[in-house]
Amino acid sequence: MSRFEYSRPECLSEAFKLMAENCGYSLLAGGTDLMVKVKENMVKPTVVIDLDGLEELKGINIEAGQIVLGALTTHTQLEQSEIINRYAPALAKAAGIIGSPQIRNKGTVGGNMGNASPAADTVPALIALGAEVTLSSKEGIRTIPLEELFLGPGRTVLKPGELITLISFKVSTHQGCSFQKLGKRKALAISVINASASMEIDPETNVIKQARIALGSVAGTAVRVSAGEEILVRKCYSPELIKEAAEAVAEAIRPIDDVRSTAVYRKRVARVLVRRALEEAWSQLHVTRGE
Amino acid sequence: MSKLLISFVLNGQKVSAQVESDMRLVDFLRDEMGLTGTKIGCGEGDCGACTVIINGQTANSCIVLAPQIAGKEVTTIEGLGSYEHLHPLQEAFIEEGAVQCGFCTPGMLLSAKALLDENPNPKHDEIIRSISGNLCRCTGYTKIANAIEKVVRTKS
Amino acid sequence: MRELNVVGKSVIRKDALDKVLGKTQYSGDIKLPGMLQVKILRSQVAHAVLKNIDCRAAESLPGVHAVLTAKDVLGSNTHGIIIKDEPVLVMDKIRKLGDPLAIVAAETEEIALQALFLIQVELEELPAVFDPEEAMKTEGPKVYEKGNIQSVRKIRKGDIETAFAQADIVVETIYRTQMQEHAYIEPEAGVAYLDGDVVVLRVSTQNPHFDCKEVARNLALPLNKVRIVQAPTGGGFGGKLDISVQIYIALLAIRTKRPVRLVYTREESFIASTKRHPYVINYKSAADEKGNLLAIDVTVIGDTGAYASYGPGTLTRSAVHATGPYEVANVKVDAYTVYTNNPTSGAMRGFGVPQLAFAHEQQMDMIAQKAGISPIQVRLLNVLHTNSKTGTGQVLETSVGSMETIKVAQAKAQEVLAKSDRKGGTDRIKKRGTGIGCMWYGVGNTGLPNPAGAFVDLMDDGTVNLMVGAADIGQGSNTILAQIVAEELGVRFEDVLVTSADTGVTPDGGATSASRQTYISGNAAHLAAQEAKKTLVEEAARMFEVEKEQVIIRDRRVFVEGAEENSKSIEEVIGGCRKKGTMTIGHGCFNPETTGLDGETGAGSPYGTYAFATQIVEVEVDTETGQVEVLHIIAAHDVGRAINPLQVEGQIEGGSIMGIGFGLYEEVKMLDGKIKTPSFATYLIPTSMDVPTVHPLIVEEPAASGPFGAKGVGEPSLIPTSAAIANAVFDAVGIRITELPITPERVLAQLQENQ
Repeated sequence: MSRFEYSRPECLSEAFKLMAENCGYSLLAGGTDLMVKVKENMVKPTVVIDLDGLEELKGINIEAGQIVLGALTTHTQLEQSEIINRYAPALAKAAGIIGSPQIRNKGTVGGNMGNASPAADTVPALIALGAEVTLSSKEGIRTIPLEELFLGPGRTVLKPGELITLISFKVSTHQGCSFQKLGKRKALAISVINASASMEIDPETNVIKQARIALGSVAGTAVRVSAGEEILVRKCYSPELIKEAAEAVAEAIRPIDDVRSTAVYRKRVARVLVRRALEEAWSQLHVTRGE
Repeated sequence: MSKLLISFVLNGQKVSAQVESDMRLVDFLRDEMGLTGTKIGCGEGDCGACTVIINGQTANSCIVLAPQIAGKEVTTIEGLGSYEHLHPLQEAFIEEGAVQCGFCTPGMLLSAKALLDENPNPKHDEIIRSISGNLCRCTGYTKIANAIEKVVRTKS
Repeated sequence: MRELNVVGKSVIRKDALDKVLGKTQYSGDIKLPGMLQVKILRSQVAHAVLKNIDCRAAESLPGVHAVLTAKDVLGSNTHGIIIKDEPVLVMDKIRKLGDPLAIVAAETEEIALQALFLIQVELEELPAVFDPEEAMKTEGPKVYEKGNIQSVRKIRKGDIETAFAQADIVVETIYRTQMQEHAYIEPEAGVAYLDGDVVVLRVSTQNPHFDCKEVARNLALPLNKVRIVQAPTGGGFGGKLDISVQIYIALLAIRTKRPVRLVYTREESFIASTKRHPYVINYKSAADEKGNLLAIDVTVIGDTGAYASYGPGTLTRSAVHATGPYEVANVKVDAYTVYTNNPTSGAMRGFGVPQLAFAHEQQMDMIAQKAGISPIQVRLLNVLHTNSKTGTGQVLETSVGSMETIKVAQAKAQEVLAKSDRKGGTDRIKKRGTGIGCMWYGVGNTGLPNPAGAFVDLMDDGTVNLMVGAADIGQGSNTILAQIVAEELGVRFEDVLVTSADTGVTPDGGATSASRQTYISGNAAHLAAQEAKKTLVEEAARMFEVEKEQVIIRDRRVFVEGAEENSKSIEEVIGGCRKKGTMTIGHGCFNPETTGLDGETGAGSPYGTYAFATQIVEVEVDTETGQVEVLHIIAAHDVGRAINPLQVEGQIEGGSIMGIGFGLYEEVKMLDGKIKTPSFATYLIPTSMDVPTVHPLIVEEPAASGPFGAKGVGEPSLIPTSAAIANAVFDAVGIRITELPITPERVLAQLQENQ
């Protein structure tokens, strides 16, 4: 275990100050990723900044059709939140399928993103929901689409002195979203592949107005696969259509072999998961529309 | 590295202690507080043998830093029951044959306790899920689930 | 069977109380004043000549008390289960990644780790061999000068050539099984200290008496100057039979004159401990058109890694069990133990039989299919029964419960699975199937002496001290041994205190392995209790003026058969003995009646008794993702007699779940001798959510030679599960997976090939 200092700032400005004063800092949210990296000597911080005191980074709120999550929202909180279960059940499902109760109690949605594993489960669900992340620093704030946060495995666009503060996405009664995970066992399983899909329809014509399809564990980062989205947009739902879209996604991705699984398998299963995600998103649409 | 003075509640008692900033909670509990009931199985949050309860929720103490518990309430297996007053879960584990080698048992009991404290009437699936972060290599989990169910039945 | 008072009852194990309170002191929990921490420097390469090792910088690090290398080993520098081929610390040749090079004792773990970094190692890498089939060739890297084939076990019975020539049905398949990790939740650990001129170790172990012999050899000490006390052990499953921490902590305790402690990290446990032998099995079966087995021709190649460990024993057991629990007149088996530069393979629950069961049970199903009969029918046709002859020519005189286990499992399966939604309605994506797996397992070490001893002391007040060498590793041997003694002596379970696995006090109990403790230590304890009881009964006979045979002792009361109302307390009768100066103590030792195996034909009677079992599983296969889920396991096990039914159930449940792990999830993935999955994040054992409904069924066909008829169950519970799963997958989706684990990748690939 490396030797480091520990600080628990009480507010954001204090956190910014600490980050500015210590160039070798690591941000501690839930610790489920950071502490493992520290143990394996993959990360050697000079100071660990515990964000737990930052109340402004907590909370799940809905305002004018926009859900705003504090970055320190734990996966347990996401999974159990009435707001999330009502308006974005796919996200509740994704959060609830992570790790174990102990991991979910501590792990945070912001920390999970910051860790930037391509296997993260809430990330594809949030991308499919059209989420944006707010990055804050002493200098100011910027908001970017979630999929633009990631540069590669373990790497984000976060600059030194910057941290993730909020995640937000719009909700609509005309949107359905689904999350599908394939892991090697039913708990404490890092995804072999996961997929999330959302569809928004025009209530008058039933035409698919917008579609987002996001996959994890098929590239160095979670990815949106526009090849599948393009097939859906401006068309009416049908089993053949979503099959075509799923096929296009499977064609487009370039997964690899790793300790968990193979590229061949991931490609094969991608078309299944995407199809299932689209099917569930569609049926969820009818639920939210009260049909 | 510097030591920090932290105050917290441990098994119902107020405690103040000096902790190294980089000390893991599990090492603090075992080595500094002499509470060796919390076990180390993997050190990476993947087995649950180090499970403790912090502010009512379970956590893997091998991936929590000791300073993080400042101002919080921590329960270890030593706080669950005693020879004179066994917790109903402890009694049920004994009676139902849910204990073999016993190494996973402390963590398992705390996961069950956290479940029942939040939901005194869980369904079978919820019981199974509540212990899904506690690996057991001996029992196959069946008698552990039976024990938890026994407590649920007896209480209701 | 006669109902007994203590035996056959699900009494509560005594150690459960401390375990649920978190008070049990496993060896990693022990704190002694002045205790030093130990770390091991391990090789990062798989095959190399060690040229030089310079510890001077490490030795001068403040806080370091000792740095030892091979030259500091006081006695012999090798240890090993069967062959002493494994170095305590490498002197010249590194044969696997993780081989120990040096050990450090320091004030803290952190300082010890820093010291490891300061040790300079000079080595010359050698070409290595990682594939056992490659290793068997004469050219290529040699792990040992004498060659890579350590040994071969042969079985030759009858005339297989004629049998195959005349067969109507021939099925030949190659099966491959993976390396499996024990994954006990407690990593290896131990402490050592000096008590006068005795070095005392408290360790997590399955065989303290073996540890004692090795420590004594490697430290050049007399056996009684080494005392090994087994600490409560957090699981073993065969992985804590080999030497792990013992020699190191003993050496360092002597060198530093301080108590020392060594606890493996999880990663270290993965790298350093033994594994289940991965096998390549070429299995050829011959049968007549009705499905009667005529012959088998089997070749097994077992990768034993860099050191022999239990290798030859494992391959021998595989060879003996290769027929499966069936009568086969013509048998040919060649089972090779092969060295490679992979991690060492050794004992793991099932000991070479789970791999063979995966093969022979699928062979049986394929034979059934060709014969046009059901999987159950083909087994009923061929299964062993009383007076059957096994593949090694042993006649099974008693306790052959195989047929009974099939019937019991089948009846339960019909009840349980009738309620199951078999074809999933209109949902054609998920398909269900059932499969059967039968097994047999010889209790005790194969054809070798493996005795156990016990001492019983019946005290003045009727309480008892029982001393047994048998190590309780969580399976509950202490409990059932106390039950056996309490039953025999006529006292209560609570009256018997068990001291176990302490070489300073208890006689050798042999290894807690081979599912042998109930049978062998149970017999020893039973005999010891009978001896202790003798003088008691004699005194009672005198007091009541009857023949000895008429004296009954039950629930601490002594009386004459038929006249229970006129009883004396056991204390009174013991008092009578004491007045005469007679003691009520006894010793017992038991070694199963076996013969060795002939070197050429394998003929012999290698076990005193065999356990039998049938498991039927229901699986659901997701035909789009290839994922296999087990829904039900019906497990009927002939245990001879269940000394403690609750504990027997616990073994059946726990073992079958480990069997699911073997069948579906677990694989130690290797690349060039390096384990790619040395953590619980990448090596996946079943969690609570991966577990089906298990229906444990106890079948009792008493073994004449077992204590109250008992045999064993620890390993049988794991053996047939993966075979039943494979057969169930075939039933569900018509594909046969001949490689373990049955991963979604393999299932999907075959499903799509078939389309």
